Amino acid sequence: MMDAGRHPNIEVLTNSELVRFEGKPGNFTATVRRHPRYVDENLCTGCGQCVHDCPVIVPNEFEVGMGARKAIYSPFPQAVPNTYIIDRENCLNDDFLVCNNCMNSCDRNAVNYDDLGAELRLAVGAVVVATGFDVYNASAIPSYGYGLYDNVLSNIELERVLNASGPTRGHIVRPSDKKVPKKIAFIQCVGSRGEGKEAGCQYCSRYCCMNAVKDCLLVKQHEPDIEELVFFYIDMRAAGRGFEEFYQRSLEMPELTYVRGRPSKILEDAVTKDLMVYVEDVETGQVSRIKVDMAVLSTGAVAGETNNRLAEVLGISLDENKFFEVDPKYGSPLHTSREGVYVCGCAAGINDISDSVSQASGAAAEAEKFVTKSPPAQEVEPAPEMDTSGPPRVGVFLCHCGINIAGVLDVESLKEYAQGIPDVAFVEENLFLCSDEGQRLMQEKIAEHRLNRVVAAACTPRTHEPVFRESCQQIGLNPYLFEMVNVRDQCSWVHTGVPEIATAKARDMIRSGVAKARHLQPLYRKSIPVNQSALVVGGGVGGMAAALELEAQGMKVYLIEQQGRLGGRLINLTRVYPANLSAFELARVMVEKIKASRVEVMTGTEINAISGFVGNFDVATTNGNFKVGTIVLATGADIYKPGDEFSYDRFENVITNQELEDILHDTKGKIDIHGQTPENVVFIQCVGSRSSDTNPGCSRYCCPTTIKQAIRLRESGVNVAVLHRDMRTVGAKAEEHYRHARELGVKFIRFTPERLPRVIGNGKAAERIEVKELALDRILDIPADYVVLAAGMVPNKATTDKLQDILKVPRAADGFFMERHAKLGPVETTTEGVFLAGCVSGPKDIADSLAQGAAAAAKAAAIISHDTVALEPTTCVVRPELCRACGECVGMCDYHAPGLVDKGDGVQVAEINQALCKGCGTCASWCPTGAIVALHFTDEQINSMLDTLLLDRV
Amino acid sequence: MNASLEQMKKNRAFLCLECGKCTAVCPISKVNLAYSPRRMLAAGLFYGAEDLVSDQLLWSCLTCQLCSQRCPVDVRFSEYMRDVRVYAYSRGSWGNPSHGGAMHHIMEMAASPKLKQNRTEWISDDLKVRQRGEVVYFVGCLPYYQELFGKDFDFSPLSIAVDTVKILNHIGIEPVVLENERCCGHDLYWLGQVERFAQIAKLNLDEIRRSGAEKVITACPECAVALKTLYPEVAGDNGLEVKHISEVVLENRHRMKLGDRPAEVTYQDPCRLGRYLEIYEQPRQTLASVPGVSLREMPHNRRGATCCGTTNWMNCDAGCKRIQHARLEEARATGAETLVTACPKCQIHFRCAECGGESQQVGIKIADYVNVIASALEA
Amino acid sequence: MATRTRPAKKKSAKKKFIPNIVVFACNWCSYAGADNAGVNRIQHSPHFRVIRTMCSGRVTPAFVLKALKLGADAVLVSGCHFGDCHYIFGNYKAVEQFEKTKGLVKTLGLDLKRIRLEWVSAAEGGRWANLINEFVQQITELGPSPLNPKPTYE
Repeated sequence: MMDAGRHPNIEVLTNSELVRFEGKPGNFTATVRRHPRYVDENLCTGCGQCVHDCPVIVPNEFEVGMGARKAIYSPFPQAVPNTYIIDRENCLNDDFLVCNNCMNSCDRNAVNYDDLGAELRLAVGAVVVATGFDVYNASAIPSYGYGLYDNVLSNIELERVLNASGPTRGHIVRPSDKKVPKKIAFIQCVGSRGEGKEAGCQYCSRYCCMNAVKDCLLVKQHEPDIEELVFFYIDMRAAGRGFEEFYQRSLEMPELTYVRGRPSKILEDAVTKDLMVYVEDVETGQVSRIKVDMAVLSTGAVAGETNNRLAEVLGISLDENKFFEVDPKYGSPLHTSREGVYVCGCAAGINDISDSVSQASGAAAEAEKFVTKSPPAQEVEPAPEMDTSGPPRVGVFLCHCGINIAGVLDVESLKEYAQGIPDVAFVEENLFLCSDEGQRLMQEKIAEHRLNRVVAAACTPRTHEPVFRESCQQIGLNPYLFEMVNVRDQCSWVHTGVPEIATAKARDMIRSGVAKARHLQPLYRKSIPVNQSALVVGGGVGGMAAALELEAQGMKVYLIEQQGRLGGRLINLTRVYPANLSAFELARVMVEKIKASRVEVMTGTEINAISGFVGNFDVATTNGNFKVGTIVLATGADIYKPGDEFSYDRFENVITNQELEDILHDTKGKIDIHGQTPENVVFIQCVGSRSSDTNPGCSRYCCPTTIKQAIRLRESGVNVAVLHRDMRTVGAKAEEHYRHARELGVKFIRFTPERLPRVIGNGKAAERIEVKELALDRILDIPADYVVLAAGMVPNKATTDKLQDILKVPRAADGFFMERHAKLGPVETTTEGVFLAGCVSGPKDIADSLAQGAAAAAKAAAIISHDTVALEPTTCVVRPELCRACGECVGMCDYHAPGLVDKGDGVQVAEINQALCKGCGTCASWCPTGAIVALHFTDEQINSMLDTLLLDRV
Repeated sequence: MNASLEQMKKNRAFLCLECGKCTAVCPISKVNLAYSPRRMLAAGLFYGAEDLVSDQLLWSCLTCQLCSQRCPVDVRFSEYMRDVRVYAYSRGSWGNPSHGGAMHHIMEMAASPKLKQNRTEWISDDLKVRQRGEVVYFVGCLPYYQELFGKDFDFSPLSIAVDTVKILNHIGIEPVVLENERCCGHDLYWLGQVERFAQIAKLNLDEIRRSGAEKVITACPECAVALKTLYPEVAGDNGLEVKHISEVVLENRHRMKLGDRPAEVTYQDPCRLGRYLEIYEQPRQTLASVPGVSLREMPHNRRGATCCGTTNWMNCDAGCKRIQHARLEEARATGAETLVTACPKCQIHFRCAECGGESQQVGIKIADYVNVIASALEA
Repeated sequence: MATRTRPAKKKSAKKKFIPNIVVFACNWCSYAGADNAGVNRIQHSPHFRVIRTMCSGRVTPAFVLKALKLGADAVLVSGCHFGDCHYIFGNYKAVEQFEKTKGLVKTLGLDLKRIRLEWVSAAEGGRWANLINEFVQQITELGPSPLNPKPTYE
C-alpha cells in the first residue's frame, strides 16, 4: 500500500467512484467522482489531534463492529493516504448542532466542512478492475445462529480478534462473557458450495479452507491453553503451493480434530451461552451433538455489491454470480468483455492471494499495451554540491508537529540541550518542519550556517525521510548526510503521560542521532545501463504468453524452446475448461501470433550458460549467444510416472489422465478406446500427489481435469466412478462442473491413504477395483474397462537442476523453483531480473499459467522499459585491503550479490555487485575482518550510537 | 613529547642504526609495503608519538618480536609499539577489530569485579578436577572461542581444555579449574589498555590465591606470558610457578603411557611460547616421543619462526591471510600431513585462512599440541 | 555446606530500579511496528532506546556485547516474523548470530533473560507495546546488570 502511495507514477484516488466512461482502448475518458473527505490531504499530517478531540464514538467497520472509532477517523492503522475522513452521518456538525471540535483542534486548518468533493475527467488508455469481493452474510443461514448467538463469529471477525492491534489486542475471548474459550468449532462452506434455501452460492469460495486451518494454528499460538478445536468440513481444499504440506502439519496438532461433515444446526444454551453443534461424521456415520464455547463460520465470498453499477458504467458484463465476466476466448482470466478493460483478483471470481497478485501483474501487462508512455519528468538542473569536508557541523531541527510533539516534550529544553552537544553548530525549532515553509527554513539555515550534517527530530523516517532528503538535495547537500530522529511516533505519542521521562528519552535520541550524523558520509545514486531485451525460456503456454506480452510492449524477445516445436503440453490437450475451448486451437492461435510477431523463436535450442546480472545477462545457447536485460523461466513441469502403483506398469488398461487425454485427442472427440467404447471407467485421484513418498504437495490441476474427462465420458454413456481423497475443484467454475458431473451420475467415492483402492486384473488387464466405501463400511467392487490415474505434476528435474545451477534461483522442498514471496511475489525470484511463469513454480492450470505469463512479462518489462537502472547507494561495499576472501559473504547472501574475484597471483577478493545488493547489511555482520561496510548503517555509526546512548547517559 | 621520549628511551629506540633489518624480516612489511618498523621508529623519533596516534598501522604490529631477534642493537620494537598504543588508546585511537570487536568486548568485561561467569560446563564426569589444590589449570579463552568459532570451523576449542585435563589426570595431577577465571588480559596489555589489564591481573591472582595453588599450568602461550611475565610487571612478584603444558609433559614423560600414533607432523612455534618464553624444545621433544610420530622442521623454525599472522584480534586483513598461506605452504612443503601448533589462536587463524574458494586452500591438517598428545594416551 | 540466611528484603526502603534497555529494530517490520504503536497511541514503558538497522541479520554478537559491556541492563533484537523478512532469510541469519551471542552471554555469566530476539510485524503495534512492557517489567525485577556502573532508580 505504502509502495503504491509513494510511487511517482501512481496517483491514488481514494473515496472515489467511476461515474462515466467512454472512448476506445488507448483513448478512454473516465469521469471520477471524488466524494468529499472534509479533510485536505495536502494539509493533513496525520497527527491525530482531531480524532482525540472528536466527541462522537461509533462502531468501527474495520474491526467488524467489535471496536470503536470516532466520527473523524482513519479507516485503519496503515491506511494510505494517512489522512483522516469525516463520517458526516455521525458528525455533530450536521444540521443544527455545531461542534467544530476537529476544525478547532487542527493547527493546519485541514478540516473543511464545506468540502463538496470534485469530479475529475481522466484520459486513460486502459482500465483494470480490481474491486475484490464481499463477505457472505452468514445471518442468511438462520440455523447457524449468526447474529443471534453471541458466540458465533465469522472468520473475518476472528481475523480481527487474532490481530495484535485488533479490538482485543490479540486475545481470544468469547463475546458473551469475555472468557477465553476452551473449545472452538470451525465450520466450513458457510455460504459456499450449496444451493437451496440456506445455501448461498454454488461455487467454492476457495480461500476459506486454508484460512481456517491457519486460524486454528494461530488460535493455539495466541491461547496455548485452548483445549480443543473441532473443524467441520466436506473436502479439504488445500490446493495451492505448500498448502497441502501446511494442512498435513496441522494434522499433527493434538488439539485439532477434523470432522468430515457439515453441521445441520447450532443451538445456544440460553444461560451459559455455550453452543451445541449437530453433525454427522460422514466417515463413521455417527451423528453427534458437540458442545463448544465458540463457533467460527467460514463465510464464503460473494460478488461486490457495487459490481452491477460499475459493470454498467464500464459497459462490461457480469457472470451469473455477479462477478465480472471473463471473455473466454483468451483462455486467460484477465480479459473482460470489453477490450481495454481488464480484471484481476476476486473481482472476476474467487482467487487466493498469490493468484490475485499474479493476475494483477498480468492485467497490468495487458493494460500497458494501451498506455502511451508518459514523458519523463522534467529533469531539474541539480544544485551544485555543497562542500561538506572538514569537521562535522551538525544542524539539529526540532519539529513541534503542532502539539503532537511539543504537547508532550519540552521542546525548549531540548533545543537548549541540543546546542550543548559537541559538533552541533545550529539548532532551530519549527511548528511543522515538513511543511513547505518548514523545509524552506531548513534549507536557508543549512546554507547560512554551512551545516554539513543535518538531524531532524520529528516523526518517522519511514514516511518522511524522503521528503527531507529531497530538500537537502535541492540545495546541494548530499541527501545521505541527513539523519532522522523519531521523537513523535516512538516517543511523544507513546509516552504521553510521562512528559519528563519522554523528554529525557528524546534527549538521548537526539544525542544518538547526532552521534550517527557525525559519521555519515555522502553517498551517490549510481545507474547502470540496461539491455532492453528479454529471454523467455520455454515455449509452452506460460512462456508464449510472456513472450507475446513483452513483444506487444515493443520489447526485443528471444523465446527458447528445447523441443522442436512451440506449444508445450497445451497442444496435447483436448478441450480447456471452464470455457470448453479447443486446446489445440488456443495453442495454434498463440503459435501463429508468435510467428507473426518479432519474437525471435529458437526451437531445438538449449541454454549452455548465463552470466551477468539484472539488466545485463550474457546468454550462451546451442544456437548462438546474445545479451538480454531480463529472463523469464517458463520451463513447465513433468507429469508423474506412476510405475507399479495401481499396477500401472502391468496392465495395459491402467492409464494416466494424460494418456486418456491423448486418446480423446486422437479420436477427435469420439469416446473410442482401441476401437471400443468402454462401459466402465474408474478414475483414481492423487497418484503421485499428497504423499510423502512421491510429492507431498497437491498437484491442483488433476481434480478439475478428472471432472472434465469424467463428464466427457459420462455424456457418451460410460459408467464413471471417481475415487478420491478430497475433491479439490478450486479453479474458475470447477465446483459447478463437479456439480454437473454428479448430476450426470458420475459416482464419487472417497478413500483414505491408509486404505488405497485395489486394482484387480486377470494377469494382462485390470478388470475391477475394490475400494472401501467409508459411510457404508463396505467393500465396493467396481468393474473397470479402464482405470485412469490422475497423475500429479512433478518438477522437470533435469531442466530445473540445470537452470538452478546457471541462475542460482533457489528451489523449495518440493523441488519447484521458489518464488520471491509465497503470497506477494509469485512470479519474482530472489535473483533480480529473473522471473517465473507457469508450472515451473508448482502445478497450475492453463488459466493460471496464462495469467502468470502476463505477470512475469509485466515485471520483466518494468526493468527493461528503462535504458538504465538507478541503484540505491545504501548498499554494502568491500574494502579490498581488508578482505581475506574467506567467502562467508558469498555463501550467505540470498541475492548472490557478493562474489570472489581473482586479482591475479592467486589473490582473491570479495566484490559486491551493487546492482544486486539490497543493503540489508547481514554480510557485514558476518565479515570477520570488517572488510564489508554496510553503508549508512556502518559499524562505526552504530557503535557511536551505542557509545553515546550508554556512556553519556544523563 | 616527554612521554614519547620516555617510551623511546625505555625501549632503546634511540639506539636505532637505521639498518633496516627489522623491516626486511617483518612479516607485515612483506605483505604491506606501507608498513615499516624502521619508519615507525623514525616517525616517533622526529615527530613524537603524536604522529603515530592517528596512524592505523600502529595497530598492525604483531608484536611477534621477530624484528627484535634480528636487531643488532636490541631495540625493543614490539614493546615500543605497545607503549605508544597506551598513549594512543588514552587519546581515543583504536584499530580495526576483527569480528566486530566481540573478543575485545569480552576481554574488557573481564575487568569488571562483578562478573560471575559460567565457564566450567565443559568439565565432564570423567575429568578429575578440584575446587582447591596445589595446581591451577588456567584455561584461558577457550570457552569463548567455542561459542564464537565452534560452529564455523571444523574444530572444538574446548577439546583443548578437555585434553589438557586428561593429560594432567594421566600423570596424576588433579588440577583446580577456576569457575570465575578471567581472560588473562594479554591482548589488552598489548593494545595499551593498562588499567584494565592491571585490574584483570589482580582479579585473576586473587582467584588463584583463593584456590591455595602455587603452581599454574596453561595450554595457551599468551596466558603463560601474561601470568609469568606481565602480571609481575603490573602487580609485583606473585610467587607463582607458571608452566606451559609442554614443559609439564616433558617433565613427566617417563610416567606417561603413549600408544603408537604414526603421523608426519611439523611444528609451529607460537611467538609467545617461543621468542617470549624461549620454549622451543619441550613441545618438539614430547611430540617426537610419541611412538610413530615423525617430526619435520620448516625452514623458519624456533627463533626464526614466522608468526601465525594476526594478533590481538586487530587489523586482520588480506595481508595477514597471505602470511598465513605462506606459512601453511611452508608446512606442506615439509611433507608433513599435519601442522601442530601449541596456541589455540594460531589454529583459529590458520583455519580461517583455509576458508574460501578451493583455489584459496593449502590443504594441510591443523591440530593443537595438546590434542595430539592426548590422543596418544593409553590407560 | 554452610547455610547462610539472607537478610530480609527491605521492600519499602528501596527505590524502584529503572532499567536501561537497548533495542535493535529492523526497518521493515519491528521499527514499523513501533511506529504503528505510535499511530495507535498505544502507551508503553519509555525505558528503552531504539537503534534502527535495515535487517535484524545486521546485528552482530559484537553490537549486543558492546551494549552489555557499556552497562545496558538488557538488549532486545527485533525483526520480522519468519517468512516476512524483507530480505527473505535475514531473520534466520539473525537467529544464527543470536545463538552465538547467547552462548557468549551465558559463558560471561550474565542472565540470559537480559538478551532477547523477538519478531514484531509492521502491523503489530499492540504486540510491540506488550513486548516492551513485559521486557521492561522482567528486567526491572531482575535488577541492574552487574556491568551497569550507575543504575538508575526512581
